[in-house]
Amino acid sequence: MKALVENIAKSLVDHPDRVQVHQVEGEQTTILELKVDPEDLGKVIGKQGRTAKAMRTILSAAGMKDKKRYVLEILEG
Amino acid sequence: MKHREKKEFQGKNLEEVIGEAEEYFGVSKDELAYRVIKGKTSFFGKERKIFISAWVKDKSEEEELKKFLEYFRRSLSLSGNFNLINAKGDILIVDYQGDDSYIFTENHGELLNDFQYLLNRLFPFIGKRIITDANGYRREREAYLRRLARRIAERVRETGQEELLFPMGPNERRIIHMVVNSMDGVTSKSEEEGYLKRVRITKMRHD
Repeated sequence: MKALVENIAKSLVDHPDRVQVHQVEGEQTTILELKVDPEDLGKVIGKQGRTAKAMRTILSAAGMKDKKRYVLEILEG
Repeated sequence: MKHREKKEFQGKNLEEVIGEAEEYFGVSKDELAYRVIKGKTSFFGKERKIFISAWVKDKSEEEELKKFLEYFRRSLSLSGNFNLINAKGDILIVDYQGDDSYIFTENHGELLNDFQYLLNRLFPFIGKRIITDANGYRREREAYLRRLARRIAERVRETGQEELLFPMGPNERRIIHMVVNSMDGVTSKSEEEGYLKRVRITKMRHD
C-alpha cells in the first residue's frame, strides 16, 4: 500500500521528488505518513478534502481485502 | 504545442473563448478539451462572462490510465478486470467486473465514486470524463434513485409535508431533481454545504 500511495501522490503534485511515504506498523493498524512539499499540500488534500478522502477510501478497501487497517496521515515536509 | 498545461479563458460566449483557446494552444478545437468553470447569462438575461479551463487532449493518457488500472488491480489483489468503454459525450467508462466488486459498491458506492474522482484528477489530459462502474452498479442505483424520488415526491404532494433525503453526491442529486422537476406540484432543492448535500422535496403553493 505504501507504493500505491506514493505513486498516486507523485502523479498529483508539482514536486514528485519531494514525495515521501513512511510506513509505521502498529499492532492493529498500519500508519502511512505521506510527506509532500508545502506547496503541494493542497494538491494531495484537494477541494473540500476530496483527494485525501479518496486515498483513504482506497486504503480502507485494501484493508477490507487483507484484513488490516490503514491510516493515512498527510504531513508537510 | 503547449502540452500538459491548463489555462483559463474568459469571454462573452463559448465560441469566443474556444477560439481564444485554439489560438493560444495553436490547435483546432477537436484537439482541445475544456471545462466550463462558470458563466452563461445572469438571472435577468443580461450577458455575463463565461470562464473555461482548456487543455490539449493527450492520446497517450489512455495508455497511462490502462497501466495505472492494472497496477491498482494488483495492489489491491483484485480478482476481476477493468474494461474501458467509450460512450457518447466524450465519456470513458471504467467498468470493473469481478467477484469482489463489492469492494467498489459498498457504502453506496463509496469507492466507486472516490475512485472516479481520483482518476479524473490523475488523468485530466485524457480529454474525456471518466465514469467508473462495477457489475452494473450505476444503472441499478439510478433506477433505485428514480423510484425513491417518485415515491417521496408523491407522498409530499399528498400530505403537503416536505421531506429531506439522505446526503448524496452531485450525480445522484441530479437524478432526484430531474424526476421531481418532471412532476407537477412539487419542487426540490439541495441543502447544506460541501460535496455531499441533501435534497429537500416540497409541495408547491398555488396562491
